[in-house]
Amino acid sequence: MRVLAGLRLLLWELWLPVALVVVWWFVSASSTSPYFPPLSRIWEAFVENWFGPSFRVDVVPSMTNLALGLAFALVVGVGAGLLLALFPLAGEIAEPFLQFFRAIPALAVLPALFILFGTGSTGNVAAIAFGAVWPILLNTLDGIRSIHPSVRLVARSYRIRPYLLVTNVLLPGAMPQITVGIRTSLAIGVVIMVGSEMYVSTAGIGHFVVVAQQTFALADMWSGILLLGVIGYALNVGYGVIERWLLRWQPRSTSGSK
Amino acid sequence: MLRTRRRQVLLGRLLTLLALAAGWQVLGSSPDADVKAVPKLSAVLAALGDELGTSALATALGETLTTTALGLVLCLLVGIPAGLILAAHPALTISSRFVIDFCRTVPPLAVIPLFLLLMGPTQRMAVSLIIAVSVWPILLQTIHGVRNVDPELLSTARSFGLPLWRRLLFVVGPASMPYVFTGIRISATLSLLLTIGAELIAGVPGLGKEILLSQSVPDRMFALITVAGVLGMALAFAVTAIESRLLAWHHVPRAAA
Repeated sequence: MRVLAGLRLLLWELWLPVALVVVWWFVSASSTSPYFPPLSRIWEAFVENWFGPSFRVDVVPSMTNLALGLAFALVVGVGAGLLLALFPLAGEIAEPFLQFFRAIPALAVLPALFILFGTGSTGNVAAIAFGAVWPILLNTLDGIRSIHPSVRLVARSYRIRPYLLVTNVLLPGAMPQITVGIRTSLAIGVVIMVGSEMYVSTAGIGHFVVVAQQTFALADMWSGILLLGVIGYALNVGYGVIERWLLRWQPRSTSGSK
Repeated sequence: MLRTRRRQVLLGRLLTLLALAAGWQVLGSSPDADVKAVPKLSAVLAALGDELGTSALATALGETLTTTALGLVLCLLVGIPAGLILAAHPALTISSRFVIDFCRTVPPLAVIPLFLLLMGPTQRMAVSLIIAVSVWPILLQTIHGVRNVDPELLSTARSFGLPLWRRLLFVVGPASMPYVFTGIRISATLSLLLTIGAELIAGVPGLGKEILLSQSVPDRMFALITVAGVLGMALAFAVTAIESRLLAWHHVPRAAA
């Protein structure tokens, strides 16, 4: 009975996307507009590019840069957030500076970062890390601050060792907020990955899309856009699984955020 | 006690500011070839002073602001009504979920080349880009907000015989406002990011294009980047101010997400 209900829900969720793709396929089949090639041609280009040599040339560097940048942002963000939360005075002093850095549209800093770190993949990684570190840092700081004071008092009266305090009280307590920060950072990281590759780079999916556009290889360009869409969606779903695992001890709350 | 604490914080902030400035100045005058291209802070400040005197910066700022504001307003006009409609019935919500999720997670800059081909490096292109990308957070949060309105409120309103438009205006609207504002906050940041991105990557007139054009003049480039930072800060501040004004009645303290 429950399987049946689940199946019905799945049907309800999937009919529209399937219908849209089918409509796109048939409407574009006879398209002569150079900007909107038939979906069948896009699909051919997709298979040819992304199951072919471009995967190694463009997808692998992009994803490596993204992973490195995010890992860096995660370590620095959680570490610095934790330190600033442990020393409230320092945290209060740093707050306006952190807010300022977060508010800078990360793409505007691209030229400066490429000057500092060179136009190689170091520049891309630095750009991703710069954009992604602030949400994680601020959410870690805020998450630890919003742990109920009595929890910290209990921890203190038990004289829990500082190391255990951090790993077993503070970080788990802040985890719901940290995961929100990571989700934001993930989205920002992907944006900057694409943007930095479009701005200056010799490899990567963003680079591929721009080159395809400039050489009027429009089916290739569309295949790149589609791939980016798939990657974005896959990262989001994948992170959702990780997030649920990280917060498995929490009672399930309703979806949506305030 | 409290006053000394506040003085400590202010003093600390001042010292941090000075340390950052000094660090920049030292970095700028470093003879190391790798960072030679980074200008001294004093040079950047001088360039900023020069810029403030010219009309080029004002024009570019105006263009960036208009593009961002226009895009954001159009997103509101599209996103909120669409969200209301999609939240009206579970079938609509569930059917649209996958499509919205997918569109929302497409990296926003991916479509710049397509839009550039279709419309060229114009303000129209940047605004279209913003609508195509920033509408999703507002739409999604509107749906969440409307679906999370306390059903008792709704049935009370219905039993009082309030017509639909009044129920929307006086019950659903205020009750879903906190959610919608989360969407607006995300969309505002995203809109500015997209505007700068379109200007920097596609050459749409505005602050980003000026940054791109001044690449060979690092002093000016760093000055313009600083201006972009201040702009981002001002936008975030403005949205938060409007939000706390409109949601003053809302008792749940907002997390800095």
